[in-house]
Amino acid sequence: MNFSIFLSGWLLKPSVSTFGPQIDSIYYVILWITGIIFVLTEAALVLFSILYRQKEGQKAHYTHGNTTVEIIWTTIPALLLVYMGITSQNLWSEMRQPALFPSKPTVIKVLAEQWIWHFRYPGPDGVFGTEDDIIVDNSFHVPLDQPIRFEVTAQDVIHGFYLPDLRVHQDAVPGLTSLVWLQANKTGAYDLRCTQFCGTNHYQMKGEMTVDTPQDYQAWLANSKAAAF
Amino acid sequence: MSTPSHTLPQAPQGFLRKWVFSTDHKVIGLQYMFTSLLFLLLGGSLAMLIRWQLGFPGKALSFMGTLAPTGMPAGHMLPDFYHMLFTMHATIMIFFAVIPLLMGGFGNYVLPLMIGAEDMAFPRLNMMSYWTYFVSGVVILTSFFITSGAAKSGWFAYAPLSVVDATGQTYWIISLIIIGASSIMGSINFITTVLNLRAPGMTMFRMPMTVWAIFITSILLLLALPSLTVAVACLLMDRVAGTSFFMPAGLIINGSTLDRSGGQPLLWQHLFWFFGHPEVYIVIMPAMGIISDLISTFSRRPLFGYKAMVYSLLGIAGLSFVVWGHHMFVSGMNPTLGTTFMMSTMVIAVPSAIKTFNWLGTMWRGSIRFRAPMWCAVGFISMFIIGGLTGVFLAATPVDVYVHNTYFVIGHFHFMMVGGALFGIFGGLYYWFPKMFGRMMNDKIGSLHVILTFIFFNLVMYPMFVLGLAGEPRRLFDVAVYPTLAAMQPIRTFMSVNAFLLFGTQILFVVNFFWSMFKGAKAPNNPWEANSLEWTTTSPPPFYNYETVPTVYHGPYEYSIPNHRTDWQPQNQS
Repeated sequence: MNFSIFLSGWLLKPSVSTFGPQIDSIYYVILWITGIIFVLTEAALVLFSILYRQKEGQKAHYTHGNTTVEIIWTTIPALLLVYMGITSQNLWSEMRQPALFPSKPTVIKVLAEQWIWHFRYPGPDGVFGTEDDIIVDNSFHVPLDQPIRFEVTAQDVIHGFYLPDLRVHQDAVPGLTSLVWLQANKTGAYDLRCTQFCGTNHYQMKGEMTVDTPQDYQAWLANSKAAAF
Repeated sequence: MSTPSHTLPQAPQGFLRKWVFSTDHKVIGLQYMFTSLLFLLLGGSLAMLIRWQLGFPGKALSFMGTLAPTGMPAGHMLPDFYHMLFTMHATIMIFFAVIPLLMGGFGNYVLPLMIGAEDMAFPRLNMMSYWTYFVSGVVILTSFFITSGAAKSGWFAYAPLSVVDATGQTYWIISLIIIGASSIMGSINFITTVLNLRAPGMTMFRMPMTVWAIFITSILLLLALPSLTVAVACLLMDRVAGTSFFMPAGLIINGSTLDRSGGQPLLWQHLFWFFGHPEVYIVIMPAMGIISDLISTFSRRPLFGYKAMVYSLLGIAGLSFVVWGHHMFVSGMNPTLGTTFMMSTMVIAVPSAIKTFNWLGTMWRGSIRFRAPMWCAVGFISMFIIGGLTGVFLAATPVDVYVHNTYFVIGHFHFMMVGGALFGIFGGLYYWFPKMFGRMMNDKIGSLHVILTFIFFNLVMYPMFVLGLAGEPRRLFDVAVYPTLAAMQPIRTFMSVNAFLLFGTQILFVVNFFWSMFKGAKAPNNPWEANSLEWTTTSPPPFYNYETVPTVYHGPYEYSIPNHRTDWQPQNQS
């Protein structure tokens, strides 16, 4: 077994969505900050354990603490944590607040059931609930470089709509329609993994999202439409 | 010591009154301890089966074919058996092992001794609390033997799955309602005891951190548990009475439309996590208290920043009620709430950081005696740092989007629950064993046990961060459908092998524990040369604890006072 993965595992696989790199950069900021704190505190722990182990004739230093250092080591973590919070906040809103979503997205309705993913496209008329709606299961396609809005829900229990390569994650909750968006910037096929435990075959509830060039996407749509009839 | 002027109370003589239906806090503490240690063993065994499936998917385990013929026919595990395993592993560890050990076991045994009290404030309520816990334990154990098996919808039992799942879930609900009642009885008792039964001179700010931690944890339990009880009561109604607390309209399950409407699955999550987040601090805070005492005692130094330590515990307790939403960032909850919960979660990391720095500050310029309890303390700090820092990734909403419900989360909380709470438990057991049984545990074997446990634990849990960062969802029976994850199988096998070694290492503890109980060296009253009151009475203490009520003259951390005859100064010596 190759143990180098225990270090290299902290490097994320490149993302293929527009806000993916932003998420990753926040991740790396946190990785640096926590990494430095980790090294410093663990080093202090090891160092103190060695330096101050019981020795003949050495007596411990008598003090109950120091207000100045208490203030310092309260303030610095507080500032760092608030900094990380504020850094995260803007991106979070951009990703999640429907009011800030890109305009004119392609809309796909996602319906999860035990243990299938259903995807509904409005079809040529652009309206849902009409006869020309296109419905596909598990495997679905989206166009490259265009904003996609998912309307995610479930019909039985809660499922987890997780596209790790695109940094998209949203529970599919029955009785509730949740909105998420993405814009993919690299063609290819990407895993859709169910992350909310949903019963016996949860472990097999896999989907696949294919990112197509606009031409391929149109061809796929036409094909799927033909297949439905 | 002068002859006491009053007659000392005597322990009841009959076996039943003395050992079974006892009202003596020490006996009840031991009852809690032994019962919860058995549950710890059970929870650990379930974890080994989980690791078997993950490390060696599809491989038969022939003896399990006999033990669980329906879940593992011919030793081959079925998915739902695996789901039962992770559900019950968590349920048993949290509710039946760790909390009862820390609160029921240590809380009952040492808290009255540490504050110089004769017993708990309500001895009969204390007995009732244990026996209520016992009954809930019987209910949860029974559920393993019913036809459909024990609960299998996960320990946080998200509705609607937990509403429509098999009968084991009902047993789960009933046992949690019962154990909730037990915890509330215990909490009221601890709060009253601390407020009313402290010895003369034992002001609040002279209490050891263990007492503070149990006191504050009791308040948390008292405020958080009702939310769980309400939630599971509603869940029970949804299951058996056709109500729709958590069931929205239009559910289609197994092809049939359910006649329910008006409920909200997210309501369950809010109610559950409103309990569930204070809950994780309920698990870690008593361990923090114990570790604080251990570090000061074995470093021969006053606890660095005692008041900061108390205030940070209070800070954690208060904030723990406003962070529950961080379990729900991707649940479909209003995103504005996500921002709020992210900020409160960032803030709750501050008191934890303060505690870590103060522990390090206590070791600084100490004269550290490395005995088994101190190894536990050092291990605790080291893993608490990892658990705490990885929590920051989960708190940051955009990053949580990527790692939510992956193995990253599993790694994070096991560093808190095992690296934190369990190391606090082992530390406490090694530390108070001489007081409880009047004999010493073997320190060499003890230290070896702690060090090996530390090593193997890290080799099991650290790789979880790597799996999580590769996007591996938690709770997958088998990853075969995801080729990229299946390719990481050597890591899982490596983890499982280490998990079995971790489990095997515990034999050292069990043997040491029982051998020492009967054959260990006789323990003096104060083997660790510690300051708190429990070390001023005999080991084990008499039925009445103290012949005369002790008077307290100073705080518990007066170690290494310059120009003092010894490097300790018990609280009852002026």
